[in-house]
Amino acid sequence: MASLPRNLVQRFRVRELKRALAPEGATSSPKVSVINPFLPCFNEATGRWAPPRYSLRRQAELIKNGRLEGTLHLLPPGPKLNPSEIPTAKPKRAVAKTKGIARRDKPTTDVTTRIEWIGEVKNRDVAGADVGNTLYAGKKQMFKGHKWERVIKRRRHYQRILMRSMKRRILRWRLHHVKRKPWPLSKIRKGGSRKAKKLPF
Amino acid sequence: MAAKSKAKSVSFHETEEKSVLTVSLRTLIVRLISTAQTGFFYTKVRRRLGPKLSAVKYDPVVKSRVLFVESRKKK
Repeated sequence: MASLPRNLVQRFRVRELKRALAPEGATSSPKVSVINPFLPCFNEATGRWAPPRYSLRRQAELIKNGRLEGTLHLLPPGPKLNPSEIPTAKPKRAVAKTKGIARRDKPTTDVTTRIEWIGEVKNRDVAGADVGNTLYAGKKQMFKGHKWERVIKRRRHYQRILMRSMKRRILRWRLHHVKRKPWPLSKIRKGGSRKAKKLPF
Repeated sequence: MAAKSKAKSVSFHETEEKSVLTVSLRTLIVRLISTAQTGFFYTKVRRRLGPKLSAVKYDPVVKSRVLFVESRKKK
């Protein structure tokens, strides 16, 4: 079984900082503006939207890693991470762990550099997220039951009525004319069967 | 084991538009439906020209013996 990836958030951070500071190189400025890679970006020159640099799956992976290692505050907000969920607490260690990180990803800048993420996050309010059950939250009607579940009561009631008269029905069936065998549920006529009777000669 | 050959009657009739050859069997498969309206049924074979079947049989839905009558539906 493969082990879980480590330091994903730190590596992500370094990668984004490198990309943002590429022409200038390392900087000692306390604050850096970076385009939020979790959000789509509008290109005014072409008038088109570029998709986010990280797919939702990768975003979820980073957030999961951040929650496990306590580095959630290093991630930008996005569709998978509400701004209100990002803690403001700083990490215990000022310098990032370099063990386990590929040489190309080792930080040239301090991982804890303050980054201002450019991009507006539009978070949808998921009904029932606070409760933990979103199955029926905000819906007009809950599951009304299967068809057979809805009718079973009515059916059983009708069957009980029919069973009350079953003894009488069976007796009537046993008494009807054996040879002629008319429809067993028909009424027994007082005058006898309407079919032509056997002639006497 | 030789297969059972079903007794058949063959008829041929002509109309203005077409001539039709029909084959009809001597027997018929029928359903005996519970009169307790449970939907449970038994199947039986009877002669096509014979009387309609009916019997008192066990219905597992109501867990008792009830009257079963032949269905009026023709397959």
